[in-house]
Amino acid sequence: MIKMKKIVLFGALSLGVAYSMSALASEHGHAAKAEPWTLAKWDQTAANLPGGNAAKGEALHKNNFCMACHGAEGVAPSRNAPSLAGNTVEYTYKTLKDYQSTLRNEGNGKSAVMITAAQTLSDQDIADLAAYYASQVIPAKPTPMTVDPAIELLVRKGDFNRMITPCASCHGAHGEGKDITPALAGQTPEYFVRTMHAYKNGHRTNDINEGMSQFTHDLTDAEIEALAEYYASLSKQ
Amino acid sequence: MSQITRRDLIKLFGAGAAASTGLLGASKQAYAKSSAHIVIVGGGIGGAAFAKYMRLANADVKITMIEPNPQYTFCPGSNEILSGHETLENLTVNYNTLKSRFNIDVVQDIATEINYEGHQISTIRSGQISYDKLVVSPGPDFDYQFVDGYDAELAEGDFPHAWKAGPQTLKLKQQIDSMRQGGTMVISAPSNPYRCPPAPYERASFIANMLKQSNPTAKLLILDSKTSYVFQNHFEHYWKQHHNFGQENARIEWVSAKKGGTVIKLDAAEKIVTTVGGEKIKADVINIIPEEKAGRFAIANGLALGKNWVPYEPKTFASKVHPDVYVIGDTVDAPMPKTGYVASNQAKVVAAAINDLLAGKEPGTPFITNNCVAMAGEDYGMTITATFRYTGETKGKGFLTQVRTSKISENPSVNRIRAEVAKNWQRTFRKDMFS
Repeated sequence: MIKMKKIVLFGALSLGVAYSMSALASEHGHAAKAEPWTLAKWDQTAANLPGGNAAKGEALHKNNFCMACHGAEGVAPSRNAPSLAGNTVEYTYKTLKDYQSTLRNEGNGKSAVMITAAQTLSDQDIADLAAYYASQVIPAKPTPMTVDPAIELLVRKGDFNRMITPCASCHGAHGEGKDITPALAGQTPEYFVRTMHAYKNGHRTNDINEGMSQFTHDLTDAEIEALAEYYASLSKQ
Repeated sequence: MSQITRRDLIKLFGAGAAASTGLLGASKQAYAKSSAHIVIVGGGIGGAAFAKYMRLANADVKITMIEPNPQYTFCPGSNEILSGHETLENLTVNYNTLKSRFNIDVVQDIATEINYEGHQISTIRSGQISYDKLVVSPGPDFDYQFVDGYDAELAEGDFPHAWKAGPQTLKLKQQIDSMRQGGTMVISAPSNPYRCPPAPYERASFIANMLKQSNPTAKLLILDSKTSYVFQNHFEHYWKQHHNFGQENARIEWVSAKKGGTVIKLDAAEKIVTTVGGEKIKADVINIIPEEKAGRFAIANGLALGKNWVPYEPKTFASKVHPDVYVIGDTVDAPMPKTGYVASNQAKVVAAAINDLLAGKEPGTPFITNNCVAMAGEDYGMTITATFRYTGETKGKGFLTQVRTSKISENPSVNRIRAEVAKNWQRTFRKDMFS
């Protein structure tokens, strides 16, 4: 698999996951890992996104099982799933396309439900869902938390010594996201942690040029946890 | 596993010492002499869930599980082996995580007799094991007496029931795969209660789907000892779409007990089953799913009080025989379906109750859920959610039951996603106990 060295570092559990990734692909009849995006290819796709209808998206959200895990209004009711409310049209569109092509496939059956769900959708359906989620808002947290200065530094300045770019430079000063870079404000912290680890150990590779695997490479578990709490506490501004 | 060393240790220091020594290097913790020792009989879904969640609730108690087999094969998902969508290997887990991560002493042995007053349990190889609390989770036992001419030996031979995933499952698959073109298969479904209510119909559906491809003129006949079953509307809806159900040329047919479907006799030599309606049916493959009763261990130790299933105190699942002996899973006479999910929930209730009692607290009020899934095919799933809220009242056998079942949908996306949710359920459910 990709980045075998890192997977080995993560020990037996990750190895098991890595092996069963290929099992999943054959098990569910999906083709081997889909072609990764290039920036040019995405730009072309983004320029031709179908116009989304939020009302139709809402109907799909309610009738196609999305709300069972992602919540009645796209705000996740449990730690198992991310909130989708308030995300950018581009991010939701690309994510569902990536599930559809199995480019986003975190292995060991973990993405199987989303891959199946996405494969039942047309491009227009996906655009409608993206428009619906973009129109929804995650409710503001009642009390903003005090932020560890080291975490605030990581978010706003990054860490030059570890070649970590500031999170805010792509995800926005308030975690609001931009284009295909997802919003993080108010995100389910457990999902955030899982996602960062999936980038770090090479299980999630659908971002263009796999930038996130570089940025997460040297982050410690404690930093990832702290970032999760920080972004969970934010409200989109 | 070094049984001799263990036996020697028990002789020298008693069972408690052997339990906490950790012969596999699992248990390095030196338990205080006052630590309670909790022993589990049975390492299936109920026993494994109890062991893990007891440990999550309490880091200090000693936990010993007595289980004859070195590994466990899940029944949920095993119908898919028959259609080639699943493998026995993928459904088989071992006890390594319970040992190493949750510090459970897993004793590979057979428990035989409970000495209730002495708080000891006898085993075949490890002698007496003392306990403060005993949790009994033996699963159900098969009761062959209702079908004349059928027995455990035939089930191990040419007439596998395959109601416990393992070699019989593979044998049945091989029989179906090699059935002559245009042959007939009979499935005899038992009366309630039995393990996994929708499973005979899920099994039939998977087999019919496979026959449609490999043996399209074959017939599948379900002879039922019941008059209705869970998800009946879903299965019939699917069979109408895929197998001409209800028509002259149907691939799959269901005979209700009301129409005399109950199978009462098997002629193994001639491969003929006889129904209560007097009909004799010759078939190429005969799959009789036997009636069930409480596990042999529970009955042998008097826990069933002469009944078929074990009575219990609904608040803590303590047995009626002794308050320090608890009974969970399919073997219990609970107003709940006999599913692995329910067994795992009962296990969590008992773990919490024992933890409270050890701390001198009154146990909480049980709220048990059954979140179950079934499939009619790889493109069609269904779900049921039932909740059982403890009331303590005689009505409803101590529980208020509420049930919600997925509705028929004409939206193919929904049916397909439900099937994927069902597979995901299997994956995550297995992990809940054994990871």
